Amino acid sequence: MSSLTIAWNVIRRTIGTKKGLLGYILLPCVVISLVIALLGQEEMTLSQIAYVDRDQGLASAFLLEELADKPGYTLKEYEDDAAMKDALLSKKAAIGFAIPAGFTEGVRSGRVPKLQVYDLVTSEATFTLRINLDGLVRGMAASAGMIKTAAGEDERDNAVLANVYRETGKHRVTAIDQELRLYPKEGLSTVTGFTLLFLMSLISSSVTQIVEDRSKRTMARIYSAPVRAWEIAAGNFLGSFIVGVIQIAVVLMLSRWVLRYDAGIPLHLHFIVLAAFMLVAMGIASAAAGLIRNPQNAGMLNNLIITPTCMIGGCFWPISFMPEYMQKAANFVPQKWTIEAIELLSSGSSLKGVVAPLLILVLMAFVLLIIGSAILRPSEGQSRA
Amino acid sequence: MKLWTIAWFELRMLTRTRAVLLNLFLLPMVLIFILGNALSSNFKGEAEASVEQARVMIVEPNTERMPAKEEIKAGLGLREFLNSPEIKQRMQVEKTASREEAVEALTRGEADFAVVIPPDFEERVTAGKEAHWELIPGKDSMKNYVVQMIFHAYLDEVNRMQAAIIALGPRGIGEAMGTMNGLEETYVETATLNEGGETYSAFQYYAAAMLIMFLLYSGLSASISLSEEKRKKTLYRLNSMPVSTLEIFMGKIAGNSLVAYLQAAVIICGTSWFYGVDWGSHLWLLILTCLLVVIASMMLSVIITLLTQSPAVARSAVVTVIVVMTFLSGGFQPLPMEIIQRMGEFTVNHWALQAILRLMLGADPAEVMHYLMMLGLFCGLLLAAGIVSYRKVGYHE
Repeated sequence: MSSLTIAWNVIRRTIGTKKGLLGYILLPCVVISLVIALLGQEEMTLSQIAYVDRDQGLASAFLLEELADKPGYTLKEYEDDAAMKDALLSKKAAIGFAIPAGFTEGVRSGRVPKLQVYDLVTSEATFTLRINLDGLVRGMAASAGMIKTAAGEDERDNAVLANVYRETGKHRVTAIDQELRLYPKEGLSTVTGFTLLFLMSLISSSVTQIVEDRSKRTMARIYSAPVRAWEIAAGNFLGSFIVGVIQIAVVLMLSRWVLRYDAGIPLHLHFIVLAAFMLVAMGIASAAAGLIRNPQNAGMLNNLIITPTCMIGGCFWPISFMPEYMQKAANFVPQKWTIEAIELLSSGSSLKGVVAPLLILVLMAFVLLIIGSAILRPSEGQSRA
Repeated sequence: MKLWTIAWFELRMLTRTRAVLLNLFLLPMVLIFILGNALSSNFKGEAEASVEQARVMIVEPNTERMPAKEEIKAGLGLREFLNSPEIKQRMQVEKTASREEAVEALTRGEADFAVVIPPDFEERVTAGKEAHWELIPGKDSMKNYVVQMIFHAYLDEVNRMQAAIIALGPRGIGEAMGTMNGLEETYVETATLNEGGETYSAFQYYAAAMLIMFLLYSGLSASISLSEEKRKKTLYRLNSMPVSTLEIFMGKIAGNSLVAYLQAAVIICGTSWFYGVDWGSHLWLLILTCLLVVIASMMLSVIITLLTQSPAVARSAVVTVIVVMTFLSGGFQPLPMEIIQRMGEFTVNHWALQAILRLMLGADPAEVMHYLMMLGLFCGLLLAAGIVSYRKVGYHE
């Protein structure tokens, strides 16, 4: 009962005032929803590719045509290398490549000069492009080789090659991709990753409330009341948890109904997963605050825990990009499990399918909150505060 | 002189706090270590090595009349293709009788991918007509992607041969069939963005982005220090001393700035010694960039701290501004979107990151100066705003 009173008090103090409502709920939630909506746009899944065509020949034209045909690519031509590099640096394009001069001649003679691929930050898209380019050029070279053996090295070579390429470009033999929607929505992991990043920094601010209680010695007074220690801890955490739940609910509703981002997940399941993550984030924030004596710097430390864990947890790049041992390390961060749960849900799993990641999250939260309940001890750090 | 006493005291206080020390030296190194190791395989281009083998269901024509465990029989080089070691390493092929069965296996998660080959596929291909496979992706995006790549490659090959036969006439057939040649040879090389031809890696990008983020965070400690003095009522005592408020204020800023420079030095030296990050050859320009970023960071947090009354609100506002700016400028991940880039141009991070990147890539100092000028402009604006807010609000109880 006392826990509920404390929890209610925490909620009222945090978001009971106009200022609190604005600062803790409205503003941050609008920011997060905007981020979700921005990243959720179609444009994000397109790879913007810059290229320089130094060859301007038959083969390079065919290569570009074929590449433009591939789904998810938007190509843009640049005058020279410097212009392309500049476009990459200013992030106008994600990847760039250059078709070397004499490419057509090389394809015909079988000594193909290599294409150069440039990127600012290696990503999934770079690999796809490299493999696609490689496949295309290999096919073109093979076609040219075939013509050489079949037709001999005569003058008509160019016309025949053009003919073969034209026929190839008709794509008579292709695959039809069936959409059963068994796999997660594209770009969902990036959206989730950044949502988690922002959620974490949001939650750390509500934990500072508890820290402030300690430094203002309000905590010591609560302890003088006939309330058990665990009730105080439970009350404080419950209060922060409910504030967090409200924040998540607002974010989800704003992004879904106002900004029209559809993650392809039932709302209540999405909510459950994020709530579980928030519990862990609360645990991390309070554990950081509990371990560092000076409460003022604890907030700062927590903020700097967020970035590295987000990196390992796959918020910024897919986990499968990292070497084995880093992937194992990822198992210790909550972000990994949250993203996994959300991807599973998006690929059509029910609540039963995500029990494992959810359990792990809850377990993590449990352990961290126990460590974190140290911040609720009034004795330590009092004299310094 | 008194200013330096306060700055020196601030510096000593900060370097004695455990949290600050962790913050100052350990965290940047941890972050850069993670980056270096997480993305190391990326630099060598082995990303897919870690993807597990995919189980692929192939629905073949005429299977009703065949015994179930029959080998894949389709011609057109498919069997050879599937049996090649590179492909076998990537996927495990299983035959199934009907499309329904394959789809069911996919939904149950027993298979990762399904392929439906129509009964008249081979016939149509040899006749020069259109022919299509049906690819049904499963639950795992990464595996879907790998298997899709493989089958698209195969179909492209078949398509290419068909085209060659159509264009060349039947005399080409002999050469066309069964020439899945030279998969080892590569036609693409990864080139460096560096002007001088030296290597450039994603590691450098993140090192620069993180350096800027950490320098911006240093403003946070200034903000904390300013409001702590008030909270502990020690500012009241300081005010009774023969020290001007401006000196106290400037001293605190100076002390925190010094810590920030120390941090910049640690990050730059640490990354270049331990991980071989190349920060370019113009050390002075790099130092100038750090200087400007620290000024901007200090002014930003000063403005926020002075204008918001509560220290907690100030802290979370500073953090939010830093995270949002880093996000918009692509500090966590470059985001190839028009709107984000437009907004990114209004951040300190953007100009600093561009300047440092260009330094790293060996660009002309004049080019770098352009970005530094913009950064300087930002600093000037922030400085002016800082002075105005100091005059308006002041620093006293």
